[in-house]
Amino acid sequence: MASDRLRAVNKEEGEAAEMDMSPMIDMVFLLLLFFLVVSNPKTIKIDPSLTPSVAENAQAAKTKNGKIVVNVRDNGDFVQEDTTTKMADGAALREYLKAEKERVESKGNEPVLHIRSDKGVEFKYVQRVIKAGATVGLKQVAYAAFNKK
Amino acid sequence: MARHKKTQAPELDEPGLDISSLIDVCFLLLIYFLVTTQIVKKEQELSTALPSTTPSETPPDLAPMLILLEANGNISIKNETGVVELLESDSDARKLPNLSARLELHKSAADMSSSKALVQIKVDGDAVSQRVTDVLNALAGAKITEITFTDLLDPEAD
Repeated sequence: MASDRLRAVNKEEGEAAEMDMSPMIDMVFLLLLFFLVVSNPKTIKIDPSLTPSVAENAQAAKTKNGKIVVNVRDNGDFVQEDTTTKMADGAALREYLKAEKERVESKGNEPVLHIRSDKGVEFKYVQRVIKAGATVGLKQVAYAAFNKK
Repeated sequence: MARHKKTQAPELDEPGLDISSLIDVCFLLLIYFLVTTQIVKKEQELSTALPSTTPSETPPDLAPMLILLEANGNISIKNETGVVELLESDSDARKLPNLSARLELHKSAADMSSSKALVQIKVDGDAVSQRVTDVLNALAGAKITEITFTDLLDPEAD
């Protein structure tokens, strides 16, 4: 009899303690939803084939809406934000900027010419972009830069 | 009797889900992303207003400061008397202390006269983009945003 009781007690103690995982899973899903809601998606596609200049006074963009991105590679190529479409000359550049300006304005945003130029490119190529922007009536220009080396 | 009790005990247990494999997969994914993730440097920007390509008819209260940037990276300013003064000659230096000091003076003069501090930049087309950014960086440090590139007024330039 006694040995049966002892065996029963030992059997109860031998069971593994289980942890209730449901609150943790609830919390993980809540955190996931929180970050999904508050995260600010990147709107500018980065052209990896160029390295922007360094400027320690460069600041984070106030808004990501309305950016008209022109990449200026180290060989002087003008490339659209999709990083593949090249613009052969000033006329193509102006046409692109004008179309993008109209698209941005139709959405009620202020267009900003966002120039991503390689740090080693000759400035005459950047000047062409600035001039094309001024010609089509863009009033704001932003130069992409890293604020740390 | 004893045999009857043994057969009933497992039926009373609640069904449990074994999550150890799930945790294994989670840790594997975590390690995978830790190893393969590349930290991308966040890009910032230097913002300026782009003046019109046509010259203004009304002259500003305070004459704009003219900054000259040569192809070799030398930075000079042209003062009111027309004399060109070389300020920075080390093209590898990212900080421009002499130019920054002059820009601060120009900005404070504009603030005192309640007008905008205007700056014109004349850049040699062969100067590299980083050097122009250095000048724009100095301008941003002095909180000057009204900047004109003088070549925009040149009808020959495309």
